[in-house]
Amino acid sequence: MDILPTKRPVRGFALITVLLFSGIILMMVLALFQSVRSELFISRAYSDQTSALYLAETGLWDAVAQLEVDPSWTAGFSDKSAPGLAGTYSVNFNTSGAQFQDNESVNNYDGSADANYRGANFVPSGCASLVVTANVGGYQRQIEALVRIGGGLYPAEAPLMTSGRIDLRGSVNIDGRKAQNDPTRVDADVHSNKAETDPDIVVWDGNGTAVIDGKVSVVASNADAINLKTALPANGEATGTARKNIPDVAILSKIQANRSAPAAAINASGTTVLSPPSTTQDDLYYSGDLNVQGDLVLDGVNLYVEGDLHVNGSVTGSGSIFVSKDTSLQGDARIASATPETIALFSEGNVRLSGFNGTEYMDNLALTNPALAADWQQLSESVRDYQTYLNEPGTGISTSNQGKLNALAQEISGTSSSIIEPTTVPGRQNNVTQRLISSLANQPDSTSKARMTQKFEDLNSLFYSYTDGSSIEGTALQELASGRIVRGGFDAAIDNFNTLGPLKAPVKSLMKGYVDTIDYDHLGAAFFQGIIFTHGSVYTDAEVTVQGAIAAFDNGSQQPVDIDGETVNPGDLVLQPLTRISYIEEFFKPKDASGGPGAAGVQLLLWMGR
Amino acid sequence: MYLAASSESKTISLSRHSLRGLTLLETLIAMVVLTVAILGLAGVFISGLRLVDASANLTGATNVAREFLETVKERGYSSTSVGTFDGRTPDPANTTTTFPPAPYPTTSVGRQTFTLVVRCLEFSPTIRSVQVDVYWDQDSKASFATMVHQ
Repeated sequence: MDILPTKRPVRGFALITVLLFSGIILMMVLALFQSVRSELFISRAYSDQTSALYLAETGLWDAVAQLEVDPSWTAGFSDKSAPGLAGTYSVNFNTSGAQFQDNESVNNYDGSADANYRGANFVPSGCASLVVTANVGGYQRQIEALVRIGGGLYPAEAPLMTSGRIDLRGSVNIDGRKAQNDPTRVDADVHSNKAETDPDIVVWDGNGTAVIDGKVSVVASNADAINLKTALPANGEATGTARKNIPDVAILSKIQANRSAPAAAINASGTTVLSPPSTTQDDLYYSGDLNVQGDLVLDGVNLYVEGDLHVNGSVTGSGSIFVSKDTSLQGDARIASATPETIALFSEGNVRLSGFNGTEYMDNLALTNPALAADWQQLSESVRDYQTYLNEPGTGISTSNQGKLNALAQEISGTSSSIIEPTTVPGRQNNVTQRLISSLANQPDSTSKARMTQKFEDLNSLFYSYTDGSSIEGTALQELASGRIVRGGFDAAIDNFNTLGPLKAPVKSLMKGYVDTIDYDHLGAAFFQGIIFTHGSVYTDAEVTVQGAIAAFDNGSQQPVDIDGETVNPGDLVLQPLTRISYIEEFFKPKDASGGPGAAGVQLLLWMGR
Repeated sequence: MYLAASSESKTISLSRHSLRGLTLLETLIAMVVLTVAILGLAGVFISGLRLVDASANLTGATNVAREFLETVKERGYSSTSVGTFDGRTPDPANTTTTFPPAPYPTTSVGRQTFTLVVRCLEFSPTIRSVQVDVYWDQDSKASFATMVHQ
């Protein structure tokens, strides 16, 4: 009787239990479903954010493409889309002069934009800060990059540009080429922004031969602003032209900003090699006047000198030198440079480039030494002939010319007694460089002797012949095929040219480009490769070859200076006889593949915001 | 006996009567409810599994595209060849420049196989755009692109 009432709650128990568990399971499944949906959203977000990042990069390169066509481009993009891709990207330039915002870009190509955008000198002259905002599926990514317009060392448009006078003396040669390994001619202009109606702003004294493979122009409109006497620039003369952009470089502030950089260790004599102090630091500082008695090699560093810089030797390698006062360099003894290594010299004060009178030294020795005179003449002719036979049109080298090039290499550096002389040049002897080195060994020690000996050793190495079929010849060939000029590489290439297949064209181009840079008439010239920029004047003496460009900009910081009895004003360029300036476009426009006029290369300097 | 039965006995007799077949009915209803619930929840569960797959595939495709584009960027402009390379065909890669680089034409991540279609175009004289479409499960795809500068 007491049992049944206690069973009453059992009614519907199974249903309730099922409903209860069903509810619990429903909640769990819904929670799982919600979790899965969240994961899908996360995956989509990851995909969209990744897509947005790449789209932002696309926008950046689109902006770079615009800058390459028009270095002054500030039009920007507004919600531009890329074909086949979701999303849009935008680039907005601040052109109103209002306070810069974080999402705004700045183009400081002409040096007129706010130098204090996001910090002092954050966007140096000749550079642009590009901020790209990309939106994909509700997600936004923003990247920023600092680019150098004009690329390379410095956006030099011409081999000689200045705000002052250009004084050319004696035989002078100003030409241009596409790249070190591409002898394609490019215009080599000479330009002055000097606007005062002075006579002789660009002048040549008429002594010797002046070759200017470009246009000579000045901003001043008076007809006598250009006085080149009998010299005829390839692209004519023009007065009253527009100013060319000579981007200023804040040399002093850069030096001051690097006072805390590690001190540069300079050897008392011999070669000083300056390497980056760490993987994250490539700046070195030197306080006071720096006198380097020997060669200075920059291994990818920036050297800041707070004082004068004097190098009684060569400056080679890759890097930049900032000098707060005057600079004097002796120049390199190399015959040419096999690498795109370049030095960017920024001197607040005057720059003096001194050669070592190598040609004059050899000519003087030749007056009293007939054997040396014959060798000296033969070397010049052999190098000239090598250039001629290598300049055969097309990508190949005929079997006949291969034989002649082999013979010429033997003449310059051969060790074999069985020389096949070019039939047109009887009487030449083998290994002329070694005989010249031996002749110089008997001369009293001097800078000219040392430098010329080094030049002959370089030429000997360049045209050296390894034993045919030897493993070392094979190694030299591999190096050359990889784009590196090495001892014996030329002979190895000529000996095995027909086996090179698709490498024929690049190997020939490399050899041709290199040999063409050797000035066989001025084998005694000092050599400098890179850009020289100054707020003072540039004065060369003796034979100097500059592969690159010279730019001078008088910003009022310097005073006129007396050099060998003549007054030279800031911004003036004075080039003494036997100066050769070869504009190498790739140093300044390395990214320009079109070759079209007005196209400036753009080089990415710094990524931010990734 | 019947007449003599007390009211309490009556109540018990009626309760017993009402309980007849209740367990079976209750069980049947419970089973129906449970079946409906399970079927419904199974649908949700299967949808969830599909979403998990979709999510994993999208992440996988994104990673495949990312790996591909980073390789292209690392190798640089000179390693690229203008043209369309369809991994579904598959079009052979350019043997001279070895473009497109791996993981073209196909790659597997887990149980999923991704197929790449690569388009390389001249964007400007110095810039090429490289777009990669990553396909999976017949018609699903994700598209990404970058540019390389000479």
